[in-house]
Amino acid sequence: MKLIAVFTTLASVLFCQSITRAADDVKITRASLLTQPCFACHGANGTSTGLPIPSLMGLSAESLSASLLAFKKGERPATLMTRIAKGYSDEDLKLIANYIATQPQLTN
Amino acid sequence: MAQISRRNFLKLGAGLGSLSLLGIPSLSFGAAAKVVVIGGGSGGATAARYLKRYDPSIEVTLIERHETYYTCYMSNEVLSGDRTMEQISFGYDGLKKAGINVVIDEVTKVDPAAKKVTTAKGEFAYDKLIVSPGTDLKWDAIEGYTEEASKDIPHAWKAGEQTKILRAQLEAMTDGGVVVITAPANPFRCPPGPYERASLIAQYLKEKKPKSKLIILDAKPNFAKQDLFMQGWEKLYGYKTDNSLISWRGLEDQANVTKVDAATRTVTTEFGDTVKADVLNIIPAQKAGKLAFDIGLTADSGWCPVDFKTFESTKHKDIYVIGDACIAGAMPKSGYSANSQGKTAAAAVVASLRSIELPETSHINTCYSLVGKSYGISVAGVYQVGKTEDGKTSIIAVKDAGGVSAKDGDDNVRATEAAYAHGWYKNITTEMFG
Repeated sequence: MKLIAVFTTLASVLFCQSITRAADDVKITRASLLTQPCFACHGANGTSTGLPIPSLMGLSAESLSASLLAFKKGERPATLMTRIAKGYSDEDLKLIANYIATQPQLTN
Repeated sequence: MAQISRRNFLKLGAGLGSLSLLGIPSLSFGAAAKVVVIGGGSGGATAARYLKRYDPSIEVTLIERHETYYTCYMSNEVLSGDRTMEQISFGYDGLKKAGINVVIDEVTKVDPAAKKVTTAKGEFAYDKLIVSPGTDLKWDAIEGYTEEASKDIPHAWKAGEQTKILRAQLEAMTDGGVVVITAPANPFRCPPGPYERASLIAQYLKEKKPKSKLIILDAKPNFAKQDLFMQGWEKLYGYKTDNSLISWRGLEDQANVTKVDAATRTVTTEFGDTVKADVLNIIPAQKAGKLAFDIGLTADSGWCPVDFKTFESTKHKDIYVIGDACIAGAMPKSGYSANSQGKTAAAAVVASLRSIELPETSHINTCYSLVGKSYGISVAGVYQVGKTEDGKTSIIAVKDAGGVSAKDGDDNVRATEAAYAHGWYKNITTEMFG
């Protein structure tokens, strides 16, 4: 009985561990890695305090994705983003858009 | 139970005793991984922050010599008088708030076998070490240009005291004086930097000392964003006219400087010309910071070879090298590159500690340069691991992406890019230092 109790506790603990990790870590995924260089210009987690560079925080995945694809195709003019967006496949741009759209606000 | 905190979980884990005997080896209860980061510049500060971002349970220690960090980027605006030293200075309180153990101390020894860093005041064991040592200047590269000489003939290629010396000399110079900047061969920190510096010093001279001249003597046949810089010089500083404020001479004219006479501030070029300056700014050739040599991380080139995906040193396991000191293929040595590499190295360290594969990724570099007030230009690139033309694995620029700003941009485009340069500076420094 004692051994079963230990295993039950262990199972719960492992389950909780995965929940805790999801809540306070940023997962290492292709999306997180592709997106992280963007924040050097657009601010930590996409919150820009360096105007006029726009914040990405709060924009929807659809809107970000549409903008990035338009930059890539040259359909939306920009001084810089047209050059950057060409460095990614359409799939990667969508991954980036989705990732930014799900960023939590940083408290720093 | 579902609301269990990490702390309680760790206590529970400890209470459960030697569970690893039951075949759960991947969880080390209560024993947080230790990662030490040496160097609190753009690479190191970013890496430390992203280690915490990717795994808050890691014990991150950042060791940095100076309490205040002065960014080299935007320090040219201090020279023109557009910015104060305070406005390029950053402390480490933000990193402390992020849970990083910041140690202001000098590293005296790193033992890669024992995985231990020794400083003047203590010892730090590590599971993984990230080194971001920046660059050092090659004092032997130009005859007569020594560390002692740099007190009067500044390089100002590491911001701080050197920036102040150069600014003070520019202010003290009489109208009609000659400023000489010498630029090194590639590779070096901030490839467009010497030309932004020339531009912003010219802006200051045009406003305050219009009879003065500025001469760039270059060890290269051409330089970063050359067409855009020269277009700006034509527009703002009379370049290509008889009365140009700026002149540039490159390798074709054998204008590379081989000798400095510190007493008279006179330089001699390879061609044999001598030029006497009133203010002389020597930007010498560079190599990885001394610490990289001390640890044995450098190759014959004077820079540090790394795995192009993870930035782990190819010389020592569990040590990662980022920033200006590492050999990062096509990525230029810039604050932005260091920031991008710091993030990847942090992810690589966490992935390695968890024994998971690091996904394929890419990097960005964007370098804005200011040619004058409200006159900005840029170069950008997207980089990934790939094969170079001669078939070697490296970090290569993604084809058809990146490049320099469109030439012939109107005043509005140039003003927008200048505003973005300032916005970028605010955001990248806030991301790193808080």
